[in-house]
Amino acid sequence: MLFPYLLRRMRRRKKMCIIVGLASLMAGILVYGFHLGVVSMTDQIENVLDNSEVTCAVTNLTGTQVDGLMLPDWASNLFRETTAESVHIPTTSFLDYVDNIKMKFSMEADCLNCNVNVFGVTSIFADRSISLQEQSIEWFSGFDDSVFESDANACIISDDLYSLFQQSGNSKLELTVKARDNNNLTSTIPLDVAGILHGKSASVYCPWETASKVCLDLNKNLSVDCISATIIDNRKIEEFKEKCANIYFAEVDPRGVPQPWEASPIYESYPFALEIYDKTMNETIATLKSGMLIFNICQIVIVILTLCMGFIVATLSIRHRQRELALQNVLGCSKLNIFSEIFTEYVAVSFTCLAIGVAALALISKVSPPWFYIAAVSAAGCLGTVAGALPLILNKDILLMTKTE
Amino acid sequence: MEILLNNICFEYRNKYRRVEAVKSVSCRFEAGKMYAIMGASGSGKTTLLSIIAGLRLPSSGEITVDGIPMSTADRCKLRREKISVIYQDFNLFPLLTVIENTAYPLLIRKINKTEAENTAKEKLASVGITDDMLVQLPRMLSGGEQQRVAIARSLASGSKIILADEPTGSLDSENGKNIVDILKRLAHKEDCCVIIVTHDPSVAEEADVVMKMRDGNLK
Repeated sequence: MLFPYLLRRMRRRKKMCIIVGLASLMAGILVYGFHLGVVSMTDQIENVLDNSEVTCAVTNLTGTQVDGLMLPDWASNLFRETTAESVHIPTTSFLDYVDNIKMKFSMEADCLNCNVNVFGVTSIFADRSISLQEQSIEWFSGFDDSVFESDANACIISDDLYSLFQQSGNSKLELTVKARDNNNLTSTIPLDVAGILHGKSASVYCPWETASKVCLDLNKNLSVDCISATIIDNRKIEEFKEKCANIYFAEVDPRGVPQPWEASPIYESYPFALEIYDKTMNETIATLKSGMLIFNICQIVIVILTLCMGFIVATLSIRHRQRELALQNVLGCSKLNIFSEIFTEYVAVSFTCLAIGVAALALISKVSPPWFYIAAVSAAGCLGTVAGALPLILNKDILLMTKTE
Repeated sequence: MEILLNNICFEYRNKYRRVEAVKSVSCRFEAGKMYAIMGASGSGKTTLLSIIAGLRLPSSGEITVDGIPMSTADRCKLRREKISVIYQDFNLFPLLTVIENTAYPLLIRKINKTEAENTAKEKLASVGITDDMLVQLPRMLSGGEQQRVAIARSLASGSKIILADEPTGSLDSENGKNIVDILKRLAHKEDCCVIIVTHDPSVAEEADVVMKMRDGNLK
């Protein structure tokens, strides 16, 4: 027998076994519990990443987004598929990362003997001056928001224009668009009136495709007032910045030629030429991550405490049973044998109770146990026991039988 | 079976003082005899016994057991197979029964449990422990019975050298005499080398050789 009558002799150390058992059980439960906390935080982070709507918008180099931004074609073309030769299409398309793109540009036009602003939009809300609180749209039968995503010859017009339109008795709205640099150059397009925009004046909103054709015919180029879009996958924001945003929006070259951000001397001053509004999401995630860090630190603390417990238990155990160990030495047990017995006692009690704690929580939570930390706790306990027991066992005076008083 | 001590010295040291507990002890112990080492408290008797048992190594000098120098031998093995120690306060495992206590030295030599317990029964019978006591715990036995169990444990391991440190110190005179008789029988009939440390003259009277220890010197 390796350790004769070990279990019987351990009954003399009931208190120590109970303390070690309870401590190991608690260590197992706490490590697992903190792991559940980490898992919960991770799930919440995933939830935030899945459900947060992060938008991005192109701003001018002063950091503001106002009408008259006048971004060159290539900037808007990055957000729309194009095969224009003059534009350097990124190897990874912006459209891989964003959708729900809202773009707007403006033109001057004459309509119903009035000077009006004509806006080409991909969505009515591409015009940031429009909000549901202050304006409302009355759609006519057969029309809705989707008209702006098409190339239909249709528009919505402000109240004042609608009154004039009704008085004119015309079935279609005749819009005469003027060229930017030459007011004598015009183009007239007939548009169906799809609805009324309440709360604005002298404004005509047309689908982007329809209005941009007219603008390009007249002006040969198109300057976008504002661009905004929604990030498709919030997990790829950094990839998006690395592959697209930083490369193309560090600086806007006056000629409209994209510049890599490394070449831009003003990048550091204006790093948000393409601004991604992920601050709120990042703050939420940072809070959750700091929670995760706390849980991880707690797990490390448990490992350290287990190391200390192993050390203390081993030291106290040897001091408490010095006489029994001395007797074993007298009867011919080697120091290695004595140390092995102490170590085995600790391992048997602590591993059993650790396993019970972990199994109990595994059954309740159905989450996979944190095997790394469980192994760390086990190893720490063993290491503490070795560190506590070995020097004492090797001390030549510990195993000498002394006379009782 | 022979134990030779050649100029054995032992010194206790700490950072405050040095005490020479054993001073230049040279002697010889043979099988078939019972030796008594007498001396007052603090004369170095127990220290000398622990050196002979291999529990301590001498500061200087040489001790050989059956021709094997203690300094190079596996002392744990010597204690498992050749040397046993009996103490004044019996030193039995309190939670093991009589038979388990006796079989313990055989089990640590990795002898089969059944065989070990059979040998233990035999040795217990030889010291007068009856079968009904075999499953009792030590606290249920008298002092004399416990000391007999301790002797049986020594015999069970097959030891031919039995060292007894004041074996009758906790016993009354009748039980003490019984124990001394058993030890004497072991020396003369079983050809053991029995060394008893005692300060009791009546125990020393029974020995074949009496040595006196005084201030670390053995005469």
